[in-house]
Amino acid sequence: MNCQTARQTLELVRPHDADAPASDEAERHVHDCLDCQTAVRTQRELDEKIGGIFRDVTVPADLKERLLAGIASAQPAAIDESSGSQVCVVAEDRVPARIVAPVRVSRRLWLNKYVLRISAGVAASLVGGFCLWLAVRPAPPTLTLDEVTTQVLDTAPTAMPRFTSFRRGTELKLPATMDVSPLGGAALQAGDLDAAVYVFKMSNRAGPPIEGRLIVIPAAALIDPPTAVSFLAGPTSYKATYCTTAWTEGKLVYICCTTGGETVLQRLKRLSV
Amino acid sequence: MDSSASKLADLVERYYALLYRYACRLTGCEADAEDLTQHAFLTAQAKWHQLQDESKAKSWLFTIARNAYLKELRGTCRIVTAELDEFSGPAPDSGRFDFDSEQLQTVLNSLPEEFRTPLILFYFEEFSYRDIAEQMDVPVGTVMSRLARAKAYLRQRLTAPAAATIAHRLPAATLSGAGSRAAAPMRAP
Ligand SMILES: [Zn+2]
Repeated sequence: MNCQTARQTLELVRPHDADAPASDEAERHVHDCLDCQTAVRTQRELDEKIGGIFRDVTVPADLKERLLAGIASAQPAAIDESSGSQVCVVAEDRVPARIVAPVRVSRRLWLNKYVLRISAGVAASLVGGFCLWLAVRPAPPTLTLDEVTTQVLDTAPTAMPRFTSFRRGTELKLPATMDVSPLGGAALQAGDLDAAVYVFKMSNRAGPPIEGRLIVIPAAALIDPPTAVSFLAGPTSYKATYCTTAWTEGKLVYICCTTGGETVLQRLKRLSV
Repeated sequence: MDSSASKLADLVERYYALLYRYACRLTGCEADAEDLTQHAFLTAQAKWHQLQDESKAKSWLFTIARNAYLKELRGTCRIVTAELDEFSGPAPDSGRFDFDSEQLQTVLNSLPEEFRTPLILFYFEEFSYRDIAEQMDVPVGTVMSRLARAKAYLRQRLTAPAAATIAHRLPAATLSGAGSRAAAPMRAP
């Protein structure tokens, strides 16, 4: 055995450790080698000094109490299995302030976890919020002015129940720019549409009574709400036997439909001046 | 207090100081050591059911602490060198052992963890080679090999005046290769 092997062997020898290397041969070498005797003795002195310094660490006086308090306050759960790390998560609000403050590991270790969890929570909230928004949001407009008019005019007033309220929450108001004196009864519900309908009749000296309908619908329900902002300004168009004009006042769109041609509509407009 | 809570409290009572000292040497700073100690016990609490043999609770606790250090805390405390030199230095001279705890820790910090841990545990004299091997999940021969090289490194750094001065003067992070020779780098087997 050479000097280096002998010294290294003896360096690793530990009493009562079954796995420590056998030292007989190394000890025989050292016994006959003055250099190794000095080196081994010095190494043992060095080991003693290093070991002494290593073990000489001052432990904080209240560490044990804080550890015990931390354990008592911890909720053993939520082991991070995803990373395979042995991390326990402590309910932070249950950790006494004395523990939370100095024990930064939990902060640091929790940080990664909490970042992930907060991210997941935010994502879940966003998804949840989106779903909620989908559920409660006003339905997007799917109907054109023409379709609404057609559907209302195709429905007999007798088939219309009494109107209660707009599903979108918009308040039902009579138009401000139209003479509403011809409108008689209560508003009716225009079938499945989110619209109210006033049905009215006007006497006509030249022929049968004029039948009219004033459709009121939230502007938000229409793909193409009219740009005119008053009854008088509304353009005239024809739908089946009706002459119509439509305009927007605030959040509501009004569609005035009358039989008897454009002259009737013009008459109504004159009344509304 | 249920049985496992009582046993855990007993574990704290018996090993908290030793674990803290180990953590202090491993991390190189007191704040991280306390963090690591706290974390080890909290993890032990959460995973108590995984402790098959309670006679190995001490080793288990140290393994938890080391794993936490490797997985969560490594790099937070100004450590570690990437490579070390192979030892072939001169025999130590007892007359030049004038280093203190801070210098020793600085040199220790410059060791890669796979060398630092067996060194600390060896000097603590609390664990057998087999215990250390199990904690590090390496063969016993590997532990001894790393230990021999780590001790040689320590000896060289702490007994060579120039190197010791450098180790004392420079921050740990700059110690990689300090006083190095053109020899094979020290890597964990
Ligand atoms: Zn010799």
